[in-house]
Order: sequence, then structure tokens, then C-alpha cells
Amino acid sequence: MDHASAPLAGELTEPESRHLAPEEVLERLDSLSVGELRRLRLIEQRRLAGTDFSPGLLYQEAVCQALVGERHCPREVSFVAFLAQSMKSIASHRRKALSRQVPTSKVDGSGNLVDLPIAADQLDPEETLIEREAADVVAEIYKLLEGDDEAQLTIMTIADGKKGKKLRDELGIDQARFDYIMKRIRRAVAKKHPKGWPT
Amino acid sequence: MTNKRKSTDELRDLSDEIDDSILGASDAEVSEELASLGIDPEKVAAEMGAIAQEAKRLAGKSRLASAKDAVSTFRSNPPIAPQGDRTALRSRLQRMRSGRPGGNDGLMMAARKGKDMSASDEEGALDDLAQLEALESEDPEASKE
Repeated sequence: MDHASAPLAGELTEPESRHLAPEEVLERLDSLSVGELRRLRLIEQRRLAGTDFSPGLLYQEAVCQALVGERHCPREVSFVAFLAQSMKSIASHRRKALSRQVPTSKVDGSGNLVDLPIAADQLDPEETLIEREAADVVAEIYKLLEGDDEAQLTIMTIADGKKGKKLRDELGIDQARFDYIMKRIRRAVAKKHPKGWPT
Repeated sequence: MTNKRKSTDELRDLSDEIDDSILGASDAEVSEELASLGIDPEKVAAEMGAIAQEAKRLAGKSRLASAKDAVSTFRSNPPIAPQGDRTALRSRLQRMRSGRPGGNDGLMMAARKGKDMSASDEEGALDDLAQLEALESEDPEASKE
């Protein structure tokens, strides 16, 4: 199983009283509604890219880690959001582990080992490749939403690091409008990236 | 002047917003989006339930394996009481036996039909007592229970 750091939901190791006890985790797990399970399935689906998890296994890993106490659900966090966050974190760790196996060299036609072309001023070739791939995906997402200025502006503001109320204020919209825009973004992205993106 | 953010950070933030929007979406929207990905929303609950059952089984197995490891580690490194401590333990054992209601520790001797402890029984009891004291020193609260 996996591990994590940083004070994110699902990754804390503070006193038990601040987190759900194992029997409470079981209780919450058994109480998930059909709607919540569907949301988790949709979120799992778009976290699979770049991992070797088949559908269902990422969710299984998240549940398993919660049950054995490798990840703790803070009391103030909804259990569904905790599982979503755990899946995100587990997938991210898995991607990183797999990316370490990505070759930065290849065998050429004559059988010689040659380095893949990477900018010479970069210190970490692996990180450079990942960043380049991410830049391509960002450009592609803007293109997917061509003609939808509102959606493009929203993505631009999110990419700028804004969240929650600050994000909506910057866009000058209310929550309902924001939800509607996000729905359009979600659907456009899902068509091109049904399993999310591998970064 | 602001530094340009990394594309990986931009994508991460967008991905997080999409997850949040899924959590806040209506049931109808979620079902529709699952269907568009070729996932039958009607089957999702049963499938996720089965996956959770499997996770419970695996978690139980994992906890059992950890417990076995802990016991085996403890047994492979039993606390060895030095000779001086052993004398103190022997006195403690004697006190425990004589202090028991009904006199000659009927409980411990039940298996021997009331006869005295053999030398090897006593050595074994001293080992057990040493382990018990080691546990108590690891968890002082346990001795109060």
C-alpha cells in the first residue's frame, strides 16, 4: 500500500480523536448512498490515467488504506470527499512510481544507447518531460473549449491558482453559474480524456 | 510581476476543481456522465459495494498479518531478566502465589492436580513474568487495568 505526506485530507497522522475511528470508517462506508457511490466511480475513472489501476482497484485501495488506518479521515471532512482525495493521492503516488521507470534514453537504429533530447539547462530530465506533457494537455484543453469564452476564462483563472470564492469573485459569477460552467468543462474534458490526464 | 506557474500545477488545480464539481453535481448529471463513459450507472452501486467488501477482506488479512508479525517479533526477542532481576521476580512470584485467596495458587496448579511447581515450570513462569513486566514498562497504563 501507499503513503503520503502534507496535511491533506486522508493523509494526517494526528491524534485519533480528530479522525474517524476504524469502526466509524466501516459505518460511513456502509452508509454511502447510491449517488455518492456513482460520484466516487466517476472521480475514480478520471484519476486512472497514467496509473496501472484497472477500474475499481483505485477505489478498493483507498477503502483498504482507510480501513487499516494508513489514511485517516478528519472528522470535519466529508467521508466521500476523503475517499476522493485518497484516490487522487494514491493515483499520484502510483504515477510517480511508474514515471521513475520511464526511460530517458533509447536504443537507436544501430543498437547504440542514446539520450532522448531534453533541454540542456534542465536539471531533472524526468520532471522536464512531465512538465512538457502537462503544458501540451493545458494547451489542448483550451483548444477543446474554443468558442466557449466563459469556460476558457474559468480555466485560465483556475490555472492561475484561484479557488472557491476568490475564483468566483474574479470571474464575477455566482456558484450556480460556476457549476454550470464546470459542467461544460467536465464534459468537454471527459470526451478527450475519459481517464483524466497522466500528470 | 508574477512568475509563470508550472503546467503541472495548473493541471492539478483544474483536476481538483473538476473533482469538486462532480461531488456537487446533481444525480442526473452524474448518471449521464457515467453513461457517456460507457459505465452503466444502474450497476455502479452493486459493483462498488462488492469492491468495498473485497477491500474489507484484504484489510482484515493485512491487520492479521501485522498482528502476527508483531507477536513473532516479540517472541523472537523475549526480554531476558538478568540474574539479579530474576531473584526479584522469584520473590514476586512467591508473593503472588501465597497472596492468592485459598492459599496455594489453585489456578496455576490446577493442571498439576494441586502439586508444587517443577523447577522448569517455575523458570517458565519467571520468563512469563519478565515478559509481562517488559510489556508493562512499554505501556504503563496497562498495569493499572
